[in-house]
Amino acid sequence: MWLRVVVPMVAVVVSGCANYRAVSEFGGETTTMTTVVKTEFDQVETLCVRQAELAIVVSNIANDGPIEQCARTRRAQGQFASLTVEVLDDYAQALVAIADNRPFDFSPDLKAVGGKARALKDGAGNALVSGKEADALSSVAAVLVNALASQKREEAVRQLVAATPDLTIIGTSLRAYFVQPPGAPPNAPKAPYTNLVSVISSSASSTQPILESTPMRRAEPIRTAELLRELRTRQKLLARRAPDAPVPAQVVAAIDAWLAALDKFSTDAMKPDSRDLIERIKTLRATTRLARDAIADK
Amino acid sequence: MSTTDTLDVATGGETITGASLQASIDRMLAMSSSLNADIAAAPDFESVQAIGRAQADLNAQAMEIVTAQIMLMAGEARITADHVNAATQAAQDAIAKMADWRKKVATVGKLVDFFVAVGTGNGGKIVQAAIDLKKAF
Repeated sequence: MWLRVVVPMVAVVVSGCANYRAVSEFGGETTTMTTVVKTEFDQVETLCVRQAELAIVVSNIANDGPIEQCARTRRAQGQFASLTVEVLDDYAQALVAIADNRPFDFSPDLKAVGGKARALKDGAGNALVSGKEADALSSVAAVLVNALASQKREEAVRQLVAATPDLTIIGTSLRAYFVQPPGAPPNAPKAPYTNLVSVISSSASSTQPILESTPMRRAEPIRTAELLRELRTRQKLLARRAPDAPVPAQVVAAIDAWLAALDKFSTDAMKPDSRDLIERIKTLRATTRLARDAIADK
Repeated sequence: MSTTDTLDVATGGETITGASLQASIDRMLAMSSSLNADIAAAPDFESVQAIGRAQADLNAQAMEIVTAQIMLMAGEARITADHVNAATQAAQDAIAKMADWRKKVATVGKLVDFFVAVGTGNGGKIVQAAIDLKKAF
């Protein structure tokens, strides 16, 4: 009789206890995933600026217009993505802090994140942030603030788990930055990343015949050869970022692995020993490593 | 593209979106690429660089569309993605028929001016730039 009462009670208590090791690991791997994305933003910006510098020199452009264009691109199109990544970063750090039972200071901008997203939408008409995404950002920001204000770790983890649907929206929009959503019609606009790489590649393709032209080779043979070598190196890096090439494919695979781990985290974070969750975190770790290697051209 | 020099006033929901301008991004890049053949045939250093600058302008405008997700405020000239895409299509067709690279570069310049005007969202400037573009054909 005692056994019949005690076993279910233990089961209830155990099932309600967060798996802090998994919470910490998922938080850590979330940070790794966001770091991969941020690294790729930086890489593309660097490619844009280097190509702009070359175009200015080769075509004797009288101003810094192409470089300024790269800066505008980074600000305008990267703003939402960076904002999204920063929220996920805060989420990840909150998970680790709660798991390690230590205080955490979220970024001062966190509370304003939803408002910023809405401003982007309002300022650009039908811009990068849909109402759904802005709501998700606001919601996650509120959950993070509340969770960290909570003195109870269990309760904090529960609140973060409850944010899963909004985190999924944020992760999905981050994915859409790199590739078209699954099932997009053939005439759907390309992903911002695809367009951006296309434009930089177009600039590189324009520069090549200029450097290879007879007048240019005759005018400055040594310098032209140097610039051509530099250009070809850059074109290889751009080719690795074409649609379905290793870099976007691996970055998207990392985001997908994170979404899959998030899905399992939402159901198993409160289970003491979920093999499924551990496996998905392992997959996430392996996938983000591949993405990092792809970006580093390993 | 309309042959008149006026445009109706936009109402809510009639402004263009960056997403609907994918065709223009692709066309700008195609025009830039098409000038490569003129570079190969250019007679001197200055000609090569002039064509290169026109290509840089086209690439810059393509990137502007990608990044800015062009916005037009309600109450300004009613211009839709169809107008803009039609302008780039007309420019591309015209450039394809031009033999002289100088004329091509001049037309690219007018097309770029048109896009800059579209980016401002100012109806008057858009109409004037559209007229200038049409004259260049």
